[in-house]
Amino acid sequence: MSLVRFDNFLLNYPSDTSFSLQIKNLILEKNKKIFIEGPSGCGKTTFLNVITGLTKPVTGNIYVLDTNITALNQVACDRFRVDHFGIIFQLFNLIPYLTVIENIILPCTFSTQRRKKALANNKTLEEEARRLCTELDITDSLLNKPISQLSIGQQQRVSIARAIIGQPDIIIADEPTSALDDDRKNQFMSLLLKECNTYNLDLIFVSHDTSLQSHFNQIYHLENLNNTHSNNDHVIT
Amino acid sequence: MSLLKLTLKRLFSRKVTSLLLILSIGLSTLLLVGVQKIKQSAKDSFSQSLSGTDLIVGARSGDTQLLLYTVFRQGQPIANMSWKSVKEIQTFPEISWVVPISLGDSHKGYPVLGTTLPYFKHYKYASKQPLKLKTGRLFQDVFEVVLGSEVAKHLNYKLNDRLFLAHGIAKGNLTIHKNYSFNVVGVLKPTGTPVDKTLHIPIEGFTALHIKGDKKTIKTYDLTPKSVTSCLIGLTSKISIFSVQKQIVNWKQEPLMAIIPGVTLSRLWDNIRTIDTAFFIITLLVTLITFIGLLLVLLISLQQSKRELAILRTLGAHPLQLSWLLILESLFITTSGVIFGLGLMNSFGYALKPFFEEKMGLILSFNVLTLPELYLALCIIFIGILTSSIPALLAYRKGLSEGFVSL
Repeated sequence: MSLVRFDNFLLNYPSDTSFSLQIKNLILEKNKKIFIEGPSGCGKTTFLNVITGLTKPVTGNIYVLDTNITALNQVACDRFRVDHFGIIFQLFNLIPYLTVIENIILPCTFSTQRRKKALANNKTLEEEARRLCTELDITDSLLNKPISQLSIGQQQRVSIARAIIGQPDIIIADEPTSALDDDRKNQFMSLLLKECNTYNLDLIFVSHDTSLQSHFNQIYHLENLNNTHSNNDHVIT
Repeated sequence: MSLLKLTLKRLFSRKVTSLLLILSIGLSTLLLVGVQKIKQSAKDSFSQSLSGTDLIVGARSGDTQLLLYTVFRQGQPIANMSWKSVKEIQTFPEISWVVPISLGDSHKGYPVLGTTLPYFKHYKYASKQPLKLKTGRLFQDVFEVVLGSEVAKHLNYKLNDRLFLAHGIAKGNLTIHKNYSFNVVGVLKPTGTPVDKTLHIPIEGFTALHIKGDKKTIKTYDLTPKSVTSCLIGLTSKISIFSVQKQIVNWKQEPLMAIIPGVTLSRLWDNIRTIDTAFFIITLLVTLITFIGLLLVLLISLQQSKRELAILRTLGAHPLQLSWLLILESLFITTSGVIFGLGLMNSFGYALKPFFEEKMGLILSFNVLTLPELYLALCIIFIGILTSSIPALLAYRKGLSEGFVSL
């Protein structure tokens, strides 16, 4: 079973003719830490939107864990995304008025599958969130604080906890280190990779920062993947 | 975490805006329901002032004028009707009872009504409720007085107190009938009608007031009145109402008129209704402005929380759930506003109850929500939901059309 498979995929916007993303054939394998690299504006976020079913292609199919997500209707696609993906956003995107615990358990509000998995580990979602917080060194005193009172480092950890709660199959990370200094960047990467290894989660990490490549075992240049730009080989290692 | 909890958290994160919205919807509810309540109380109080009386007869003037001074003690009659006519009308075979009424004197601003004992038997208010004594008894002697509840309460009169009556009902210095003092023998129970503000004396006492003399000698006089202000009439059968009315209108001895109180009351209320409708429209406009405010806040909130809704959407929230979030938000604000408004109305009601009763004679029951008022409150909540459907629809469409993709 492949992690993600692109089959004659094409995405373009009638309103923006300068951009298009075309991937004829691409297979992202399971049990890998995948790094998608490319300069700003090359379509990295669009690539992730497509994988997670937030954006539908003009033509072609995308298979995630052997499910053709392009064939799913809106509701099924939403459910598939929340069940199988844990997402770490560029600016962490935690909900400011929710507490640390509430932010962490948020995906379980929308995913029955992840709620069940989380409750298999602990009696309540709150307890599971607390367990993850302990694992991620988020102190008890922070748990009921609103996000706005947390430092950037603490927010990073909360965003990782939110992505891994209920153990989704794939972790998607959209340039989460772009605003961090080197120390925090390394700290974040270590923590993220540790958690992915602990729970055996696949990771698709997107960034323009090539210095992060060393953490991954499969690396792609998006410009090379995009057939509208070139027809080069897909994989560089 | 449920969608409801998420909605509440969202609302509490915008405390000031939410509270201001709740306050403005509360005030609109207070206005809308309060006005309806006062209007209904006024209408009830007005239309229930007199029941069980088939006709009011008096000197020919206007329908409304005769009703106003006979029932509400407002205004003054152009002329009196003769006692002879009263006696002759009483002999009509269709007539069951006649109660004469003499008005024109007062006591400390409260009107004095001269009548006969059958008044207390036949005068009915609300759903044919008779007058009842709170304390004491009805008058038996010429110089005895039975007080309305409000007169006794406000002037602090008790049984056996003595009082003097004044000539006329105008404000200012009135001539006091110093020769004759009246003994308080009874106090009536509250009725919520002008009876509460009236002093009732025997019709002979009313005649005596206008004869020079003293209490000892006056009783030797014939105290039968020469004329009265009007009289209340009860018929043996309602069928004869128009024939009796016609006979009185065609009365040869003097120009008289007979009105059907229920008809004149509703005609009078219809005249007032124009003002009432105008007031209602103004209140509706205030409510409309409030809901435009709510819509504005929801649209601004939608714009401001675009990123937040995108995160929720990416984390798996269905576009419909985003719409629900906004609808629930509006539902909570509107319902809280309505509850706050009704609470406010209750508080104001209790505080202002004495004022309404004293100054306007309105007996208001603020603690009871009537069915039309409940409908009005539910209608406000429904408009709140309807208002939120616009941003909810926008959120739904944006959610579907990838307007809320967040990565």
